Amino acid sequence: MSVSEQLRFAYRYPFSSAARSIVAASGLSLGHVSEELVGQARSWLLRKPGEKKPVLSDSAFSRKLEEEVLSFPVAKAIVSQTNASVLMDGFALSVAYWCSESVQKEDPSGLLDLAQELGLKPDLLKAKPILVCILVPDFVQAAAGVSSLKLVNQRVENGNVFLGRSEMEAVLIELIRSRVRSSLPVKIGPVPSLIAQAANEVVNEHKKRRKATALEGIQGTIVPSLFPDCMKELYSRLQEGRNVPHLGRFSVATFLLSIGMKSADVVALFAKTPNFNEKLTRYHVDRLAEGPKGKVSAPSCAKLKEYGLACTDCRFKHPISKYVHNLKNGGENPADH
Amino acid sequence: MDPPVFLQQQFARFYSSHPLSVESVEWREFGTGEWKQKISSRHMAFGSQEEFNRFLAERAPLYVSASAAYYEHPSAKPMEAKQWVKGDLVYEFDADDLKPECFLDHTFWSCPHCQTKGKGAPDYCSSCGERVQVEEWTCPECLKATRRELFRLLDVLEQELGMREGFSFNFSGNKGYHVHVRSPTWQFLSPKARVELVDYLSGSGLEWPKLGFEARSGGFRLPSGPQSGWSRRTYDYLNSLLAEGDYAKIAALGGVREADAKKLLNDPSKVLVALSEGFVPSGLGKKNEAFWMKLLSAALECNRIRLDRSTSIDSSKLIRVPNSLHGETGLAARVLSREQLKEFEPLHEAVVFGPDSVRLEGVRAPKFFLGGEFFGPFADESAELPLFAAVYLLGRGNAHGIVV
Repeated sequence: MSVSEQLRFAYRYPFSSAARSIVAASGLSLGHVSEELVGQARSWLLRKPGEKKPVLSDSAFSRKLEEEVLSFPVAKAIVSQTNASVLMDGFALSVAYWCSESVQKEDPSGLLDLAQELGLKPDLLKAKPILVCILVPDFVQAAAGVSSLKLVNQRVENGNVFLGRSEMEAVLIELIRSRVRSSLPVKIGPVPSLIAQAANEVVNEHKKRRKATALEGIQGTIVPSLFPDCMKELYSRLQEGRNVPHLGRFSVATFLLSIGMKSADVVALFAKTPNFNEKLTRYHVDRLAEGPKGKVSAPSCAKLKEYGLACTDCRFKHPISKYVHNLKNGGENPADH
Repeated sequence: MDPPVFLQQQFARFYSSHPLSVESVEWREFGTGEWKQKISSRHMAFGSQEEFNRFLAERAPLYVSASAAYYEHPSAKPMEAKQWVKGDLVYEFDADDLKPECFLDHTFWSCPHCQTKGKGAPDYCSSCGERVQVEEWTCPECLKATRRELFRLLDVLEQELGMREGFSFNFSGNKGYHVHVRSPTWQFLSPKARVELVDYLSGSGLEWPKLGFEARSGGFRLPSGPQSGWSRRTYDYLNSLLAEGDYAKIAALGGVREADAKKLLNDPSKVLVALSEGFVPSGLGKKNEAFWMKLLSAALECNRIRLDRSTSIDSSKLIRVPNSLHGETGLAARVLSREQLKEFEPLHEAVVFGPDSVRLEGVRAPKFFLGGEFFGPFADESAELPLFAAVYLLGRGNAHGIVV
């Protein structure tokens, strides 16, 4: 790869080893970053998903290179400093979106270069509609959790997954997201004031942007008849003293705690189960309510599906969203309960 | 003598003379169970096989399980402090998940409220509507069905997923089998990746159009090009169903009249050619889509591997230590080579206790098979039984006590 090609690759993929080499060669130090660079880094963090890359003329390329490639590690430092996993998730997603435009423009050998950069070793087949094949463990490790890339819906034989162009692109974009996310938070020594200040600004800006979630309005409103069907089933099983498997217990407990049920009430709900042990139940429920990482979130519908607990006809992505929807549209006034 | 005390005495004697060997013992978390509770204590760790075996001989737990996961600090609490390093893939098959035909013949329910009894496994009493208690038994036939499912799993793991090394098999000690895969290619998979494998095996989340199967007006489209994985198995199912030419079966599976099925298969050889070419014309009108979708559902039901999902996806799962004793049966979770597995008779070959006679009180059991012979039925009576059968009944809770 020539220097110019390396620069262009780094611009397209700022997480890459090519980009890291450029940053290292520039002698960038977080203690001495310019306000301009911090400003550019902040724009990484406030970029909206789907925002398009500017088309660069050759003359603008070098300048943009500095703004984009060098600002990327600064952006990582800022988002790490926020200590907010939701912002780190958003940043990783935003970078993946940003790169997806370039991924879609790559020719097959460019896709292979990128795959290699991301630790994947596909074999190029060029037999339309199949482009590449990847070993099953590499595929599931890369694409797990992306609903459009479920292994069960792929062509699988003899230890290989056969992918068309668009599927391969989707795998790479997901790998970019997970590569960036797993690199966060970055550990930095003493935090330069510009970085700390930028982190505060980013947090405040996100707070402003964030609409008041519906959840805030429903805390403590427990209306079992309006629970989504999956939770209604688990809840009624517990009330009837029927056995509920471990993952079902976990799911319903985190759901109830998330909508504001008190820990003691959750423990009481489990009292009728055949193997009830109050001390043990209280310990687990308390940990779900106030563990070392705060309250444990209720599993999403995708997770519930993994557990075999989801309702088949539910169009929601999270049982809490469905509950909020039911509360608002279910014909019952929460205030009555 | 109380059953738990008697069982522990027997288990201690067994463990004193039959040391176990746990692969990578020092990296695993252990849990033990007591009377009627498979895991009552966990977060234990052992530095060596000797230490582990000393523990078994001294404490004689009725159940002993180890993590599929390898941890930096296996005894640390809470779970995240253990620091996961890697984890075996584990697949578990139980007869009660598979519910083969014989299973309902030796599954009994009773209503604690109105004392009504019956065969099968309903949730509620047919007389009073109260929740019932279910008692499951096993027989050689349902354990064979479980083993067949295990071999179906191996076919898919090897031929489709390319898993070819690191397999270890053992009887569960009760109603099924466990498969452990200890290969570095697979041990580092994330929890989500493990879910993908389970979804693949069980057909969960399968979307027919994505595999190229689609019911269209006037017919049914199949994937073109080389068949692989689920599409090959689905194609094979449909091909053999249609080649069989059993109109009544096809009509029942597809939810149409037998006459419609006959019309579709008027010329079976043409239908099979059309199937191989990727489009089967079928003049079923409005019923067309529902008909083919029902046949696809039947293909899914036939081809899915019916394994215990939670065992495979729970990264903190503790699973019975191979070759240890099952507290509910006294049978050993025998480790088996692939060859041994083919002929293994669990209710005979997993028996470890001897034939010495023991008198039990309050024995309640249907006729059951163990150690190569039939026993019972017993209706709340005292009975003289060989030690292995006595342990089996006491562990299950089908006898009240032992006359010493």
